Formats: sequence, C-alpha cells, structure tokens
Amino acid sequence: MTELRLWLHQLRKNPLSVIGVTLILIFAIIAIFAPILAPPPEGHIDPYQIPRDGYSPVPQPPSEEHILGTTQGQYDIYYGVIWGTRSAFQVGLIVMGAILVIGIFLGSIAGYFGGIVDEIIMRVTDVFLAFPALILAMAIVVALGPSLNTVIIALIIVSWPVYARLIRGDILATREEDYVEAARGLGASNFRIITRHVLPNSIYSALVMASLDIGAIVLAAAALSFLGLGAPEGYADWGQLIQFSRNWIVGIPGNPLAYWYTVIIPGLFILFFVLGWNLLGDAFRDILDPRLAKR
Amino acid sequence: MNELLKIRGLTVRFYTYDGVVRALEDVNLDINQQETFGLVGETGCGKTLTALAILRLVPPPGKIECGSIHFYPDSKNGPVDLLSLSEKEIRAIRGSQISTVFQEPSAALNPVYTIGDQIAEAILLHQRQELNHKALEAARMSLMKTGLVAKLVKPVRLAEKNLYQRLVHNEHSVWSRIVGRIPVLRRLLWRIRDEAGKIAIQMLKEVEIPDPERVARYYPHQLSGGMKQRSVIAMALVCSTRFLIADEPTTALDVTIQAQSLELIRRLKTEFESSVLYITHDLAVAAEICDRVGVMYAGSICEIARVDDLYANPLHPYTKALMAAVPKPGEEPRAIGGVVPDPIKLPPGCRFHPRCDIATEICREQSPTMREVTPGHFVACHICQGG
Amino acid sequence: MEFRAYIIRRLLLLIPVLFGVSLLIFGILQLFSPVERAFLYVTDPKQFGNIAAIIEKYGLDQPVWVQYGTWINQVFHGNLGWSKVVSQPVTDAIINFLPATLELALFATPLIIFGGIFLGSKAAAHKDKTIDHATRFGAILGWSLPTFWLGLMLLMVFYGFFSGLLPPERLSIGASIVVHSDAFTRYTGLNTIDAILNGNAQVLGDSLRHLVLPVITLTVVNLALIMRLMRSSMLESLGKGYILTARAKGLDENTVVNKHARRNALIPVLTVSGFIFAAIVNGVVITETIFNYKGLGWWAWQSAVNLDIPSVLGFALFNAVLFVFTNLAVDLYYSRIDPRVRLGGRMQ
Repeated sequence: MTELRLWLHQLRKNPLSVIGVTLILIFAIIAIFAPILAPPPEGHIDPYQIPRDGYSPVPQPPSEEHILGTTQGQYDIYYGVIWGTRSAFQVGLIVMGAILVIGIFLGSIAGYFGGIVDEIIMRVTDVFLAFPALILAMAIVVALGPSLNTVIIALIIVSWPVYARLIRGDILATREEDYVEAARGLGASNFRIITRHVLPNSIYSALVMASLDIGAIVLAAAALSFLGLGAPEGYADWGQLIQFSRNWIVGIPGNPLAYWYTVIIPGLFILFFVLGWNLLGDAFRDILDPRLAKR
Repeated sequence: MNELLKIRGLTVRFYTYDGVVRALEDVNLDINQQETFGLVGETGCGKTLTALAILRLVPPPGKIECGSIHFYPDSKNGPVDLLSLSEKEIRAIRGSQISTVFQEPSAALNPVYTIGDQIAEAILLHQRQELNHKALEAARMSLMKTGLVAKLVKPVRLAEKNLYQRLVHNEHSVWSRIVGRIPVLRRLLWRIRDEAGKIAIQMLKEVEIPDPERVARYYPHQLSGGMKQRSVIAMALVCSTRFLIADEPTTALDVTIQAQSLELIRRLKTEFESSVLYITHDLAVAAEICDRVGVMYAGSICEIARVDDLYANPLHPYTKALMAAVPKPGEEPRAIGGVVPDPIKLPPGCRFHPRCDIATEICREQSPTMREVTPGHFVACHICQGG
Repeated sequence: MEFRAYIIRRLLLLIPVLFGVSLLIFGILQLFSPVERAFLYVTDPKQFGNIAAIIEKYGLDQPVWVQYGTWINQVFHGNLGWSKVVSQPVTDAIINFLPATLELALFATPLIIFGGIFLGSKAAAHKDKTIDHATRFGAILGWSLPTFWLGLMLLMVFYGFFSGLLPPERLSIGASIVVHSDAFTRYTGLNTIDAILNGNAQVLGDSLRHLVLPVITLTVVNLALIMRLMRSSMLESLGKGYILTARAKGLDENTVVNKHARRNALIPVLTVSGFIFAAIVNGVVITETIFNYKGLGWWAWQSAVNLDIPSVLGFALFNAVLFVFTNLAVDLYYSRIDPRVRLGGRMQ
C-alpha cells in the first residue's frame, strides 16, 4: 500500500495533475448535484429531457430566467449542460468499465495461455482494429437505431481491442518474470497466478490509457451526437446541444456572434471535461514512466 | 615531462529537488604518460563522474564547481586546462585525444547504424585532412586508368580531383561547403567516406575481429557481446588517442571474454602509446592491468599508490577493508560494516569515519588531506599519515 | 532472405484479417430485415419497384452462409448496392467523392506528420524550457478539443468576420463553373493539382482558400498526438547510452540530436502513423460535415443520418480494406528503417 501512497504523493506534487483532478471533481460535483442545481420542472417525467420554454426556433440570449440562454427550440442551455455532465459521466464510465473488463479478460487469456488462443484473439482484434473507429461506430449505430444507448454499445465494441492488446502485451512481459515461475513452482493454479501475481503488475499501463481515454470516449460520443447519430433531440447531451447550434453560428447580419452562447458554452464544458481527464492521465503516465522504464 | 593529466581540487555538485549532492569533493589525481591508472571503488563513489568531468560531459543538474584538469596533449606544448576550454575546443579533444569506452557495449552502439558507419564517424570528424589527402591520392590514381569506361567518366574524376585538391589546400574551402549541400553533387565527395570506411575496417582488424569487411556492414544487434566490445574499443582508439578512459569495460561480459578484452586493451595501449584511466570496482582486474591505482570512497580519493605497493601495503582503512572483503579460498569474506553515506547528508570530517575501526576525535571533525607517506604512495587519513 | 520471408508472412496474414473484416460487415448487415438488405444488390433505381424479385434472386431468405457467398460474390464484382442519398451506385459514389477527401488528406497529412515530428523534437531537445512547456500545453489543449467544436468556431469566426475569405465547401460558384466547363480538364479530380496542370490561377487560389479551414480543423488534434509521441520518444532516445558515446566522440549537439537520437525516436512514431491514417478518416467525416465539403466523409454522414445502409456499409468496408493495406505499407517501411526487424540473427 505504500506504493499507492507514493503515487498519490507524486500526483499532488505535479501542478498539472492537480488542475486535472480539480476539474474532474468539479464536474463530478455538478453531476451528483444535478437535481439540485437544475431541478426538473413539475410533472417532468424524464429528467434528461431538457425542458422547453416555448417553440420558437430562435435561440434566446442569457437572461434572468435562463441563465445561459436557450438554444434552438427554446431548450434551456443551463439545464442542458448540467444534466449533460451526468450523461457524459455515464457514457464515459460505462464504456470505460466495459472495455476494461472485456479487454482485461480477453487480454489476460491471450497473453497468459499463448498459442492458438492467443492467435485467434489477436486476429479478432486485428479485424476490429482494421476499421477507423468512428466509421465502425457509425455503422453499428445505424444498424441498431440511433440513441445514446446504441452509442454506448458501439463505442464499447469499437474500443475494447486496444485494451485487450495492451493487457496482452503487459502480460507477455510479466509472464516471464521470476516471481511467476516461483508461484508456479509452488503449485499455484493458473487463475491464482493471473489474478494475484500477473495482473496487478500489468494493470498500471492500462490504467494510464484508461484515464486518458475517458476523454476520448466522451469526445467520440459527443461527435456521434453532433452528427445526429446519438442522443435524440432535446436530450441533455453536450454533443446534442452543439448540433442545435449549428444553424446559428452565422449570427445575424451585423452581429456574427449573436448566438455565441449556443455553441461556446456546451463546447467549453466538453473541452474542460476532456482536458481534466487528459491532464490526469498525463500525470499518471509521468509518474509511472520511471517504473515502466525500470521494468 | 612525464605527466599526461593533472586533476586538482575537482568538485562536482548536483542540485536536485531533494538537496545538494556533493558527488565529488576536492579530487586530486595525476596520470602519467603511457601508464595505466586504475580508479577503484564501490558503485556510486564517483568514479564514472570523474571520467565525465574530464570530458566535460557532466549531466544536468550537475555542475563542476571548481578545480582544474590540466591535460598535456603532446610533449612539446604546455598543458591545457580542460575546464576552461570552449565547447568547440573540448569537442575537438573528445574522441581524438581523449577517448572513452563505456560500460555496456550494447548500449554504446546506435542500433540503426552499421558498425563501420559508427567507427567511420569518428574518423570523419577528427581526421579530415588525412582523409582529404587519401581521397586526392585515390582520385589521382583513378585518373590514370585507361580504357573506354575510364575515358567516359574522366570529366567526373577530374572534378573530383580538383575538389579534393581544394580541400587539401584549405580544409574549409567555400567550394566544398557549397558542393556538400547540393544532394547530387555531394556524391562527388564519396571518396572521403570511402577512405574513412577503409580505416574503420583496418581498425576492426586491429581489434582482432574476424572478417572485418563483412562485420563493418553489420548492425550492432547482429554481433555477440564480445564483438560489440571490440567494436567499441576500435571506435575509441581509431583516432590514435593519447588517453583512453575505460569505464568498467568488462563488467557486462563473461569471464573469458573479459580476459580477452583486457589483453586487447593492454596490447593496444602499448602499440598506440596511450595512457589509460581504467575504472573498475574489481580489485583483481585492477591488479592485473594497472600500473598505479587510486582508491575512491564517497566522492573523495583515499589512497593512491603503485599497484604492487598498494596491494602489498595498503594504508588507508578503507583500502584495507576492501581487500579483506575479497573472498579467498578457505577464509570467510569480511564485509565492511555500515552503509555508504547518503551523498546529500555526508558525515562531517573524514567521510569514512563512521565505518572505520580506528577513527578518533580528529577524524570526526576534520577532513584529511592527501599526503605522501612513502615515495609515490599517497594517503588521505589522519591516522596513517603520522600526524 | 529474411526480408522476403517477412514480406510473404505479412501478406499471408492479410487474408484472415480481410476475411474477418468481411465477416464483421456481413454480421452487421444481418441486423437488418431482408427488405433493407435487398438495397445492397440494387444497381438501378428502377429495381426498387420490385424488391421481392431481388430477395428471390439473391436468396436473401436463404441460410446465412449462402447469403454470405452471394454477397461476397457481389462485392468482388464491384457491386456494393445503391446509394439513395446521392442516387448513384455505391461504388461510383466512392470513386466520385474520393478525390475531394484525398485532397484534404494530402494537405493535412504532411502537416501533421512533419509538423508533429519537428515540434516534438524541438520540445524534447529543449526540455523544461519555454518552448517545451508551450508545445506541451498546446498539445494537451489540442488533444482535448472536440474537432467539431473547433471547426464550428473557426467557421463562426471566419464566416462572421472575414466573410468570403475562407468560405466553406470546396469551390465558390465562379470557380465551380470553370472547373466543370470544357476548357478545364479534370485530370485527377483534386482541384489544386488540376488547377496547376491547367495553369489556372483562379481555380488554384479559390480551392486553396476553401481548403484552409478544413485542413486546420483536421490537423490540430492529430498534430497534438504526434507531437507528444515524438517528444516522449525523443526523450527516451536521448537518455540512451549511445548518445553519451556520440557526445564523447566529440560530435556537436546538433548532430547528436538529429542524426543519432532522432532516427531511433522516429521508430515508434512511424508505428503510430498508420493509425494517423485512421484518425484522419475519422476526422474527415466530421470536418467535411461541418464545412459542407462534399467528400467521402460528407457522403458517409449523409448516408448515416438517412439510414442509407448500403452506403454506410460500403464506406466501412472500403475504409477497412484501405486501412489494412496502409498498415502493411507502414510495417514494410518500418522494417526498412529498423534493421533489427529486417535482419534477425547473430554472428559469432
């Protein structure tokens, strides 16, 4: 456990990681306290549906009633970005969790047992990796019908191969280490060896990648929503909000930035969210590097 | 004038987040012409750092605080203080007058270039004029060839010859610089690389590598450890260096290869009339190959003497303890009690006193200076100096 | 000898991968109903009137492996179905939209790769100094930016303030007329190259202006990635033993960094460059959508939103095959640079 303590200590010393953690904590608080920060109005069934104040397509600037303004169709932007934080975390954590589980499972099997099992799993990952991620995700979403859930499924399908490969590589490296031989010599079963000895050491680089990737996953989900393939209209999702703003970036003649709030506010939320995870992942990598180098 | 290198008062400190590391403190050392000087000590005592300081390659956050390193390049001219030279001047010395062989031969060779290329690089850097002359000769010879083909390429050969002539006349002639930049014309200068390659192959032969023409075209990963070591030695000595610094060159090798490498170094040293600074932690190797030996502990020199003198009559407590620690058949090895001090929080006075059997009051307070106890035998110890 | 064996081995490995790719596409295809699947076999809009006949003809109610056979057969004959979004056979659509996207990629790729390598090396060589911090900050920022947001912002600014300077789409109306006229020969379909070949400055200038913003959008995110990779790779390379040896030989710092460190540092960067191709394809969909730039990405987006299945699947298949071959090319080039891969074995 002192290793963990050392890790946290180094994390604290690095200013960029402090910023990253702060950002993520802020977003986490927003997400947790969403019902308080932006309470759904009376009789509202689905809190993720942004409440509409009228049906006019023209966005309204920030005012007393709508702190951050409204976007096309009079959806409240403030509400949208607050609850959008929740959906962002949902997407990010669910997808990342699933990927890690699948990736670790398949990667461990491939790495530890080697031989034909390894070959088969590697070919399968090759096939998935042959597709540019967004394209494959698009195809899957189209096939299953666009919605946030299909986006999650598509992203899981598209991203697990990278992690399987990563874990496999790490396991291949640790497999030959002496302490694994020792454990085997003492009669430990394969399962025990994998879970107790091999995995804990290989998992570090996967964690680094995971923290960096949550940002990428949220970006990809936002991109799919932006393209109209993700969250349905009016759903509290950052990408969706930006899709709304697309028609309004030209502004009014004479005031090109008239509707700046429709595009800049949701965009900033995405930017800082992803930035926070990237900074954190970067700091992880810097800390882990000397250890990786020693291996 | 027998001296080659005179180090006086060399102090190197590292400025790290955790504090100031006093890596080398007031190091004084003399190396003479054509002698092999061994620098012995535990890992981390500063031996390699001394070598780096001579080359002015101390990595940041290290800084050479003070001191002087006087180097006598040849018997005619006076000494140069290496620490006061400009970047350009010290670069001219590195690789040609002072060469280095570092610890791990695999690490020392760049994996993406051939052996021949890497050796030739040193030649191209330091022996341009010789190469120019040789190239000119070769160009002249090619001009004298007869036959149809020769007649066809004659204008090209003439251009080459003129170019080389200019180079011989003025090493940095404008023409050569212009031609050197233009890709197609640059090929006219191919003979220079060619000659460098030939010298490289010759050097590989010197270090007893079989089939040198073929090996020169190999990449480092295709050679065994021993061959790589020879190549590194070839690379260091190819410019007829006066002073070779060998930093634990055999540590990473098998014992048999070790013996061969030592033999090679010994032979080459005589042939090229070089001096060698041989850094090692292995007392046996030092005894084998060195003329004089210096013992280092925690950044300072404890004792310097001729090799037989040192082994027969070690004076400093640390040296005595080192020798006792070497396992001999039938005897129990005796470890030295205590641990190497933290370089940031060094003990006051003599650095060795916490582990010394005969330490007294003065050892705890004052740092001892080096004094000549018997002719040629220097010790830094309050007790052994007799006051 | 070794090298040839290596090439053959890699080529053989292609087959199962391509097979797997086709299986995956086919699998996704099976998620649709027979009627929808029938669209993949349509070559002529008139056939839409008689879907039942198509189902019959291509056995779309037959067992799965039979269907796979028919489908693969069609694919090899170049029939990927009909794209209702652009009213052309899918294969034609791919061929027609390819030049536009190629042009975009042509400008973006060197910027990304060379820019990234250059900035990454500089940052590594001057570690912890201003330029290092600046590039690192820029890299993290660039990597966190949503591409589509960047594109929108650029569009907003340039459309709003510098109207007409860097407009969306491929060509303005005037230049478009010129390009489609008889006086202008379209050799490649890439407007810039064609303009040069035709000696037409107006079209050249116009198409370049339209390219600026999309290229920037496409480049920023990927440049950040390459830059960071190059930096860490260089730092690792600079810490190696042969660098100390090179310095001890008397080489000047420039040569040490550029000749010795860089070549080794490039190796991991090269492996990634195959993935850069994928990243560009991903980015192209978004970029073309935002700027209404009618290339493959734009077509893919239109197809996806309109649930035009043949187009989406055809596009995915095309990309996968292209990607597999690009990776092969990268691998072969990589083995040329790193002699350890090319020549195994030791000599005693």
